[in-house]
Amino acid sequence: MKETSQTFARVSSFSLVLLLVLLSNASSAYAQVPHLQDSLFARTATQTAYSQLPNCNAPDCVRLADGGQAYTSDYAVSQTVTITGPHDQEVFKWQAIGPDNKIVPVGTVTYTQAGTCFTWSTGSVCNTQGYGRFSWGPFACQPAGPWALQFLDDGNPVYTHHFTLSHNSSGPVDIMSPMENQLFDLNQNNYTATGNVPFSATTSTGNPINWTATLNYATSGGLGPLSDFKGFTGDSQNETYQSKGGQVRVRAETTAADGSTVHDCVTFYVEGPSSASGGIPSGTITTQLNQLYIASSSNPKDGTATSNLMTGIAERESTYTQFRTPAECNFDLFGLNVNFQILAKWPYETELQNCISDGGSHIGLMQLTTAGNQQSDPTAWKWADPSPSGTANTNDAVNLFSGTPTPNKIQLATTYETDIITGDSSQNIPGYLNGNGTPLVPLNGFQPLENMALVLYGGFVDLRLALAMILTRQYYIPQCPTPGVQGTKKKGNKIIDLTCSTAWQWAPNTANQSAGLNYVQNGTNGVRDLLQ
Amino acid sequence: MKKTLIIGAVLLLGIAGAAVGSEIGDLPWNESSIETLRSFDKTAVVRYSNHLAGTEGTPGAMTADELREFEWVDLAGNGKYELASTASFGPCCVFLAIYSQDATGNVSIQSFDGAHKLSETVRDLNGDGKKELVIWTELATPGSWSPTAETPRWPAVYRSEGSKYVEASRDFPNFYDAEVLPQIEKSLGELSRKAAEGRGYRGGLARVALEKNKILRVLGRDPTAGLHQAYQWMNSDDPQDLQCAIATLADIGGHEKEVREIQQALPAAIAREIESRKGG
Repeated sequence: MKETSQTFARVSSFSLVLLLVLLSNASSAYAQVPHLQDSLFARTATQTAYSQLPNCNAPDCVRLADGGQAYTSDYAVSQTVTITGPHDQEVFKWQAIGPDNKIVPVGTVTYTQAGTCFTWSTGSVCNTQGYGRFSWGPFACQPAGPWALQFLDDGNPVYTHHFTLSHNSSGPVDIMSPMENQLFDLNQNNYTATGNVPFSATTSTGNPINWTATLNYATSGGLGPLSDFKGFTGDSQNETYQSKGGQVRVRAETTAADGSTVHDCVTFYVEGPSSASGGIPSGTITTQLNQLYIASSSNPKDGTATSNLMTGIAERESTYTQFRTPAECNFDLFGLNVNFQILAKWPYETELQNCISDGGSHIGLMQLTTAGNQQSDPTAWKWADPSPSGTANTNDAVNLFSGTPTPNKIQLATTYETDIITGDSSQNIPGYLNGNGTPLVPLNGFQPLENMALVLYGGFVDLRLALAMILTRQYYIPQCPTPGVQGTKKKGNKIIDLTCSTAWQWAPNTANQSAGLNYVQNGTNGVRDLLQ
Repeated sequence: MKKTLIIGAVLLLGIAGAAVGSEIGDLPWNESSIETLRSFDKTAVVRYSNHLAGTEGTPGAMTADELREFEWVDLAGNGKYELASTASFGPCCVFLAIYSQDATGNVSIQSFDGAHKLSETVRDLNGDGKKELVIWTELATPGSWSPTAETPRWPAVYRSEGSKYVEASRDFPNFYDAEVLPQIEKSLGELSRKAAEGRGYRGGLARVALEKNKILRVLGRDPTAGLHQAYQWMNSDDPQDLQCAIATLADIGGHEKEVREIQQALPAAIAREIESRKGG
């Protein structure tokens, strides 16, 4: 019998060692009787030891009992299964279940009778006579905690081994800081940056340590994906995170005494300003919003605007919260609460219903549409920028309402106001004409325009409707008050103006925009009722 | 229970004439051109929608970011296709628009506030080959919930009647019994277990109960469902509880005095909640 073995490079973050025995005198019985053997469940400290599987020799390869201990500095934890006599298209699958209870695919091997081939995602081997031995498992550079490694035959679990992944202070390299699942909050730079995040590790050799720290975030629906990569060398170093947060996977790598590469890994999280750090003070939010509004381009700056109008939006949209924990009906990102009972503050996502996020279509203090590029437009993690033209949740919101880029909501409201007054003959939309032949007067002052803009900011008008209908769904509509008599002015058969024998007046649109009116002001909890 | 439910914007309007210069509007919306219609991308649909609205090139035109999903669907099961699309223009609402083409090529649009994903919103609930619309309708007076991000809604069913869709939830008890109420019971169980962990969960629990009670009232199984809870909620200092009480009492009717009292108490409760959050 001739035995050959093949070792395959990393597949994603996993590895496969295929040990294939080619039988020169294959027994036909192998092809008829499926048989599986749970050959080895082991942790390997080094790549060298891993490549020698299924030979497993201490100290770098240690057989594990169910529930055994493996280390984040290990090269791999693997399960070796010997397969003989599989049927055509039989599928063998390895998968891991992490501390967050998520199933992590490890690898799949499919057997094809023709050619007696075993095939996996990156390769295949044939002429096996239906005999193969595979070692496959997750690299240990995974989050610490309880894990399970499963082997499935045609979808049915056959072998399940449990192990605990933990840090090993006497390992070849050990990350001392950050700690597993540690939270760092944005408590610096006006609550947009972390303080120093200390990275430190020890090695058994004193060799240099190369670090990588990869941050990832997206809303619960995968919107606004954000990533950040840091790489540095040394035993220790401080880093900070500005205008970003999420899960950070850290890897510290060094050279072991035998020349092989060894590593340790840890996962920590960057969250919004924690309650312990006081959160973003309400007074700070108020000041920021008021300053942005007065500085915005469409604010007339003559005292006619409602100076604290934006605070009402923040109250109404989010109850003054950029970040919330799952206990405040926010999504449990990364499963930190359900799996580890850790309450972290994440960017506040709009609820679909019943404390279930809608995927994060709108976010934060002002419930802005979640920006697609959170690197350049960090609406999720940066609540404020000192410059009015800067990008942040409050800045973008105020600019959307009354700043740049155009058209902002004040400008759009002004356009609609003009359209209502003059009509649009090209679309058969009549204007409004008073009894004395003058057109309906514009809205009186800036605050009515603000009301129209609030309805547009809130999103209460479906802009796919015909313009004529859009105009009837604004905060104000013209009204011909008693004793005025309403009529029409025609050109040929075409109505070009609606007339009022006295004078048209603007009135809140209770008929077609009651929801928007409630949003703006209802005497209880409308935007104008909640001004700070 | 109030006979007339305020269910958000439902609008029917005729838009005269096929779309000039727009291939979507030039085609008959039937089996003969469905493959072509389905080949139009998001940009083309946005352009067509704006063209129909008369807002193409204006400041009020819909943007591609605002259009979420679109699909060509045979709503009536008669070989004629409608364009269904969802769009959001701000945090309050996700609108469903149904564009229909008549025999002369004229296109009309119906708009509904309260869409989820299209696959969850446009469905054949009773297997008769005709699509119903599931519209998540505000449980409180539209536009009145604070914070807006937590606005509670219930799934109302709209059935096609002639050229437009009308609310007909009461005729679909199986939908509620098989899908909605079991999910509500599950949510109630989960949130009950979590309620001790934070007031957010308690607020969520109240909102789920609000949804269940509304459905029981709509189905006629308990015309005063939630009344007892409403009296409990109105004694709470939690704004979510107070708003649930207002929504319940207003919907059942005959409790105007209590509603006014709770409305007066609500602003102070919101202020206390913000204070208690210790920052955002």
